[in-house]
Amino acid sequence: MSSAWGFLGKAFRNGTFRAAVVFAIFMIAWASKQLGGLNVFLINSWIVLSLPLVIASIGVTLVIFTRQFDLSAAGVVTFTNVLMVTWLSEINVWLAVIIAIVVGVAIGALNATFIVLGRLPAIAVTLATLIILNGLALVILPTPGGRVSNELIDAVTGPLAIPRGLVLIVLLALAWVVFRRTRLGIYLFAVGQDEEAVRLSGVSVAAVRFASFSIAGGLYALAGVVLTAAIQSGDASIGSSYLLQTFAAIAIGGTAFTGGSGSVIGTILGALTLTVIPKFLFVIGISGWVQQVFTGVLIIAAVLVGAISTRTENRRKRVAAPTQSPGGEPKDPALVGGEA
Amino acid sequence: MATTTFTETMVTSSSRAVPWWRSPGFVRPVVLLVIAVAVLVAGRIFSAGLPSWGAAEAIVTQSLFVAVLAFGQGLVMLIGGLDLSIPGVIALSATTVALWTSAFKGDALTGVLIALACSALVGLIDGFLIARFQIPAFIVTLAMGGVLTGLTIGVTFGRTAPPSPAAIVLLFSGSGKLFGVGIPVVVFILVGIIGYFIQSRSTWGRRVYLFGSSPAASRLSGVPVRRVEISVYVVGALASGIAGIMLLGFSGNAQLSLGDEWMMPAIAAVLVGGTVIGSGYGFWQSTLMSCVLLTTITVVIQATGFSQGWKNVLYGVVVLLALLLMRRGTGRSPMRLLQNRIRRTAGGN
Repeated sequence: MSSAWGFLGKAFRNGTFRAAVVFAIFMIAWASKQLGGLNVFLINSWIVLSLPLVIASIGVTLVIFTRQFDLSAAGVVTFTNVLMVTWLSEINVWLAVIIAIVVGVAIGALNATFIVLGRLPAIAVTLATLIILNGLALVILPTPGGRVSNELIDAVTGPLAIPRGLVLIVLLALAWVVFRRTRLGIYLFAVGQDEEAVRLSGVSVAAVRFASFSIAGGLYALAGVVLTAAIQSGDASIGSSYLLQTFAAIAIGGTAFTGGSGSVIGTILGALTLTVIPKFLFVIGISGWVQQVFTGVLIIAAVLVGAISTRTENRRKRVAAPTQSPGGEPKDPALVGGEA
Repeated sequence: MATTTFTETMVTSSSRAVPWWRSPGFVRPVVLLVIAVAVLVAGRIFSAGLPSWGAAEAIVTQSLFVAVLAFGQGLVMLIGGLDLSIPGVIALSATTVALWTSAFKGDALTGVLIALACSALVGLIDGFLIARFQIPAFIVTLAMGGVLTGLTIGVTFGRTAPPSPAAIVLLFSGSGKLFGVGIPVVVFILVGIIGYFIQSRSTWGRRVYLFGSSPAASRLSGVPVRRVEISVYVVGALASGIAGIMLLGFSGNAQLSLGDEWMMPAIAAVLVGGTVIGSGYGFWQSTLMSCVLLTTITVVIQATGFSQGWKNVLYGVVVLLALLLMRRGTGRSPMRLLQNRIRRTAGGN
């Protein structure tokens, strides 16, 4: 019995597990309240609409791992959405997708240039990028509209036994599982945990930062492309909600904003939770402002739980460390006494 | 990084080697003001009526709102935070005042006090969460902004934007005059002076600087760090609340989107003013003057007939340039080279 509780306690200290529980609660709530139950069409439309948020949040997560912030996600999503329906709508759709992603990577690399070479705070640089990209999007497309190729819409939303969006999400999760084991994947965490140690062990921190911002930029652009297919139009203000939502997804996903830990799978679950909540609140007849308040409170609660569990974990480590050293006494008896 | 900024702050603030008229706390605001005047005069190229007293007064009036917001934002950024709840707090305080006076027939002063109390409470909650649990400030404030906007929609649901009480309109729309100039101009000067004394001359202000440059050092020197950190967010939210009331008077009614377009200028003003996020380095005087400069640029752009999109692009570019120019800690930064050159020239005389 006690070992079962111990196991549960351990599981709940894992951010991804918490995210899965929260997601399951809202998913079950939605499924039970939805008239006639869930069917593949409902699931498909939900997945398609949450896909851009999932992808963009993954990008931000990669940057968060390295203990940096990236506010430009909303800007890149908007900018690529606008590009896809204007300049890139005339050429071959797959070429357009590739160009959009290259643009995203370039924006990420530009961010990294200012942050790494200019030694500027990431939060300020990416805020500036966000403002610039939103402005450019508004210049290119002053009023919502534009043309989206049917091929692209079909590719993302097309009918299938399993929703294509779901396949993409699973693929992204698998890609993460592989990426986490690669050299770069390990460096991402390492830079977030102890930048100095990484530098001393001969790894270029600058290169890791460049990689994380560039990959993130590419993912934002992909999110913008998917969003374009999902809403089948262009809108220069479409991305504004992504600023809060991406960070909310990460918070619910259990990744610590202090860097060096967390999981992309948690973020995926967090993003899906965020898009299930409106569905659930809608079917039980609550909409509009309550939803906004609810989301805000949930985000704060999620970050709070994450922060508290990280602190407890750190404290446990701190207490455990001195006693583990051979024959060593705890260095600070007062601290250990306080914990007991 | 932390150690260098700390020592540099100590040097710039307490050493008497540099006379006051060559210190960045004096040079920067003057340079920013000179650029602002130059931009306004150059506005002649785009509009025949531009360098005029009317335009200057309009610029100072609009700068007032940015300045009040930038005061709170500047303090928050000094200690390494970022307050993204500005639109939410503005909507909350403006709606509170407008509802209190229109729907509940209360008097304006009570309404203002209630609005400020609400704003302070928001800041207290923000600050508590940030200081007690070490949660990144921008996430807490962003979520809080969403909550506040939602609540404000809930409170005003089904109603049109409530109108502002006449007294506040008279104060902040520029229609009221005092000493021959619009009241906002007088308030702007007052805000500048009060802000200077709070940020640069008070014990609390010094503690905020110290906390920003090194939380560890300020804890060791006996400063109640958590209380200081929380109080910064309370002051930040109060500043947003005050700006909300001013904007209510300026626009005449409490729309929900009242604060949306004012947050970015406030952040930009702090950065252009040379405050470095989380370093405990920055001057209120230069933030104030960069508010004037940014508003002047906006007014001149409006005269050229460029769209809102270009305005955003320009804001972003100005922020990036300011970040690069105001960079500290490296000998090669253009601003430092310029300063050195000025210093050398001045020394040669």
